[in-house]
Amino acid sequence: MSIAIQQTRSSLLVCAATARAEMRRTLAYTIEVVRWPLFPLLYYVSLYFTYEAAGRDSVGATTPAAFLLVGIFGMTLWSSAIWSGGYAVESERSAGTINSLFLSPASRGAVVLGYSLGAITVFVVPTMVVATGLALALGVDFEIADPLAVGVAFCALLLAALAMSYLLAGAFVLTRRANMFANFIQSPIYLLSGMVVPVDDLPRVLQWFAYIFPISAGMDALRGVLLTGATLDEISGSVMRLVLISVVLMVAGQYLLERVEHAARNAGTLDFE
Amino acid sequence: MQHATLAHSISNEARAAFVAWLMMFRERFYLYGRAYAMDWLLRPIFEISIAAIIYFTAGSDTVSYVVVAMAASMLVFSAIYFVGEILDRERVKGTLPSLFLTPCRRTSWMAGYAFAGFLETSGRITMVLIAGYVLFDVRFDPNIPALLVVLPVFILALSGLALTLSGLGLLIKRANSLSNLISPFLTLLGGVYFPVSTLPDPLRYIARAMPLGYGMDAITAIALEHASLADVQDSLIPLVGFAIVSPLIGLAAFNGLEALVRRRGEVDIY
Repeated sequence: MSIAIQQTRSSLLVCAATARAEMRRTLAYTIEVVRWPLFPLLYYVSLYFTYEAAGRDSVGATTPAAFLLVGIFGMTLWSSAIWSGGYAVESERSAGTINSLFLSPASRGAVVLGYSLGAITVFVVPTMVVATGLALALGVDFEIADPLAVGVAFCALLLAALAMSYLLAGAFVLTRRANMFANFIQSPIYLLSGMVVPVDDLPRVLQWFAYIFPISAGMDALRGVLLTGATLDEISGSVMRLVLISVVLMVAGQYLLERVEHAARNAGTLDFE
Repeated sequence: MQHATLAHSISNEARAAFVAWLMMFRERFYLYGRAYAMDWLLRPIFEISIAAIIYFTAGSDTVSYVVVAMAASMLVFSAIYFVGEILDRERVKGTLPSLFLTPCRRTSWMAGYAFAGFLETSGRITMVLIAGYVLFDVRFDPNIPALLVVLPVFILALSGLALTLSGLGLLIKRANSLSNLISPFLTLLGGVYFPVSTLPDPLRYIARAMPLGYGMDAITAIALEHASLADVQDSLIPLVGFAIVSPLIGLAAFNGLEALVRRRGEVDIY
């Protein structure tokens, strides 16, 4: 029992230290502090004007500004999943510290989670706050019937992003083309997951992607509770789907991280370009 | 004797530009081979698809505009991400001091590098236009002679931005972050997803203080409606103004920033 407690404590310490390091790395450069939140915010405004130029005053059951707001939340979490937690092991490789990481007794999962939490603190939360202010300025009306449901939907969305980070952390390194894949997967996901255009507007065959992509379910739930007054009961289906997919992603992520560990320890090739 | 020296000097600079082009071409080709082609060629198509779904659902035919504007914006992004990051990329590789000590003009090897970027960008533009034709049923009706006049003018108008960013990247040592900071502003104000004329007043005034919107207006009209130079003169005249002023400002900024970095002794520090 004491070993389990010790391991948990050690993992928490590793996670906190990694999060702190990630925050300090980001905050060390003013340009990084500014540019990370700026992209989603300006993308939000660009797409808002695109909807305006198209003459669309509604998207699904809501306005473009409201629809895009939750999309930008999803997008911010997705960017964070890619470039922090997802990129964690690759960052260690770039810095030349990957072999040291895999020789240390630190929990790999705690390191990935630490990167994610660091990014959530310095990038995700400030971006969401400013985006919400922007949305209010654009006249978004929130219709919240169940504040608890908002909390649940938000936590579920966060869980999905963390699960994605976990999966990507191993996958990126194993491809040896992390930067390319990280860059490439951004736009298709914006399109296919319901972040910036409604899934119903996509060709049917593409709609299936949104059904299995966890962040889509999280956004559905969050849109419901924030914009149309949905209750916990009404979003329970989306939340359950999201939790199930997240668990599957975590298991797959664990498997990939073990493959990375194998490559590091047995083949000794992980730090090769 | 003086003629022979001049000829030798020109031949030396031309050879430096050619070698720089060849080296950069090989480097980019190598990267493309490492699957980067998937990102650089396909990403714009997904971005067009986002705008296409927004416009198609509303029954708007602005998609043709977006396809051509997205193709033209490849030049803008090349100016930012390719030319604007040249010096910082070399610094990260550790080759910048050697390049500065090479016995040829800086403009020669930078022109060679930039030409490699231009060829790559031409490939991306072709890909976007083919995707527009095949996937979004865009029908082009280009006025080729007019396009051959406007495109170089547009590129010249962008050169100042590229040179300034190149110098700034050297100074702040985070050229890629700077590019990522600038590019969403240019997407918003550059008329990529919608014509600049549809922006609300304050933003339109800012957009009209830059060459991008004029370039997009002229290029889209010429490529889609067979517009002549006379038809696009309202956009062309300001664009020509930018094409004259922008390289001068860019060169002055680049020289000033580079001199500052050299004075500080930070050429190879990052």
